[in-house]
Amino acid sequence: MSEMLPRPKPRDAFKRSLRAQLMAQAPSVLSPRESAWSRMTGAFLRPALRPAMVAAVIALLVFASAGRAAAASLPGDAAFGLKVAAEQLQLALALDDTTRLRLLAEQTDHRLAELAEALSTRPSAAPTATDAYAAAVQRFTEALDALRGKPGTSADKQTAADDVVDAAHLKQEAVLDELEKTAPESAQQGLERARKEADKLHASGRPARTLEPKDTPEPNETPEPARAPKTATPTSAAEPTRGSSPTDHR
Amino acid sequence: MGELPNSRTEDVVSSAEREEDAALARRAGSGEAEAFGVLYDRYVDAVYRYVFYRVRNEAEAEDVTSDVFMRALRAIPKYEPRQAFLAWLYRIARNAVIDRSRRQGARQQVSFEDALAHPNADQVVNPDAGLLAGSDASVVRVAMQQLTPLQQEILVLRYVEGYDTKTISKLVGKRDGTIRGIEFRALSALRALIPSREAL
Repeated sequence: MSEMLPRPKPRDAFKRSLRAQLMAQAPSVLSPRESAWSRMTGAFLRPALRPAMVAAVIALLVFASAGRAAAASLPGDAAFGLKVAAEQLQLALALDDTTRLRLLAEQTDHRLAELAEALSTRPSAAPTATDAYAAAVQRFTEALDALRGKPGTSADKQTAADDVVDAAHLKQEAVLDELEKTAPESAQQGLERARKEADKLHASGRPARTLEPKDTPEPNETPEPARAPKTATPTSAAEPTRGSSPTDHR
Repeated sequence: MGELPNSRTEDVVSSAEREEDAALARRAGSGEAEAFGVLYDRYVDAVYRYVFYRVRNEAEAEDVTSDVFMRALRAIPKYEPRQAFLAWLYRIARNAVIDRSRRQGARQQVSFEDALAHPNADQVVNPDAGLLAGSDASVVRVAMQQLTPLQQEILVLRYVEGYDTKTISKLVGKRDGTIRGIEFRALSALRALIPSREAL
């Protein structure tokens, strides 16, 4: 194939319509969301909650020094338990499902960062770090399933959940790409496992977003499953996972 | 399998464009919708082309392109400019295509005969193009559905967008040699799938 393939162009009407839709949605999508911090400071200013918040701050200061050691710990270290306990406390204090989901996404980020750290500084800790990452992804996907299956979950919440999953997946895929390029050969197997875990964030099974109804129905269109079963890995005969062959199956 | 005569050896975009994109993305991320509109105008064609050969028809290509930009709109506050904006969009597009094919279950058997029976006369390629002689975009697309997602992606980046191997390796996060191997196998598979003009 020494020549270029034709370069198709989208219809002008389609481009205009999509642009209009994006511009219509942009103000609400791009408006700054209330952060966990602003919610917490807001709560602190409420008189009824002030004593509890003061107690929490004091407890936080007491544990701060131990926390510093825990923050630098890797899965398998003695101080790592403290780090996990702090994360569980954060989760318990989450005000709503979306915040909880966001915290779980952050925890998967932390586990992946620890895996990267283990690969570069302490390869013997890498298998434990991979296990910890897999467990974090599992907790995240379980919370996502629970949120989606919860009766009365609003479309806004669903969209917010999709945003969290998309962002987490994109970020973690980028980190794994970098690691794959730099990690030693001996670590590649562990990375492949981590990659498979990250792929589980991908099997979100969200309904396709369409701009406008099509004039003619698509005869081959099949109904979309509400969500891929959790036990199903992203592999199939037709679409192998990344790295399932030495090069091209991704 | 050398470089194409007109292959693009520069990075995905020039550094000036990249800085401009980063500034637009920052403005969009802080709530300026029109900045996102400018990025959309700049890259909608590229995203559509990237998707076009990886789905079954134009309607699907439009759906996936819409999905890509909706995802990009929601994710832009978290965009980090160390990655070129177009490369970031390609990554979102790759995920959108994979998500769609997963939702559709096992890859459906598209009718190769149908595609041959309704060629799109506007898109017939140069008859000198060895492998593609007598083929049109719809035939190539149907054949490409039989390839793995990564093979499809590499062929599109190389033969539609015209990127060289080094640039593609950066875009998909694989080594140069790996890209060449995948391209070779993808072309071999396409040779078996696309009939010659005589066969038609």
